[in-house]
Amino acid sequence: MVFLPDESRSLPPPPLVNKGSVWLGFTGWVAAMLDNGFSHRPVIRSGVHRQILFATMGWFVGYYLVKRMEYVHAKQDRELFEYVRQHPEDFKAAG
Amino acid sequence: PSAFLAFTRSAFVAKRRNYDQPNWFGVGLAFSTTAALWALLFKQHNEDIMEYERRKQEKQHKCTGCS
Repeated sequence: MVFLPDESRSLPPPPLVNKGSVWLGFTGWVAAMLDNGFSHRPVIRSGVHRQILFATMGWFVGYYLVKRMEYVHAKQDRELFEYVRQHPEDFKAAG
Repeated sequence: PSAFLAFTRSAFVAKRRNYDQPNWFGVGLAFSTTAALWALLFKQHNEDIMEYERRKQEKQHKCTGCS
């Protein structure tokens, strides 16, 4: 199973600021702050390099996950519309 | 200290962390990894855009024919 098949590159790529990146970046930041809390360090002031790194890792992973999500949704749409096209009798407008 | 105690954190083996000196090696590693990740991400994004535009052009040439 390929994470991103070649045809996914025909789709417009997500912007650098996208929902997945923002959310996972935030999650990474929270994880760093949790680590601070569990280690009895000041929660926000401590380990800023760690907070930045974890947030960046989340941002990075989020980008690829959004790309795969958009590919899966596009593939489902293509299959759906192809089915509708091949079975017009099942999709007559109400009349 | 036994190697088997690596996964248990008993008071006999654990030592209290000392935060007096910054862990400069860790800080440098974290920041350089951060920079590398952002560089990789920007590179990937730009490549994605170029490939998408290239395929869009290709599809246009194939369907509409060259003018």
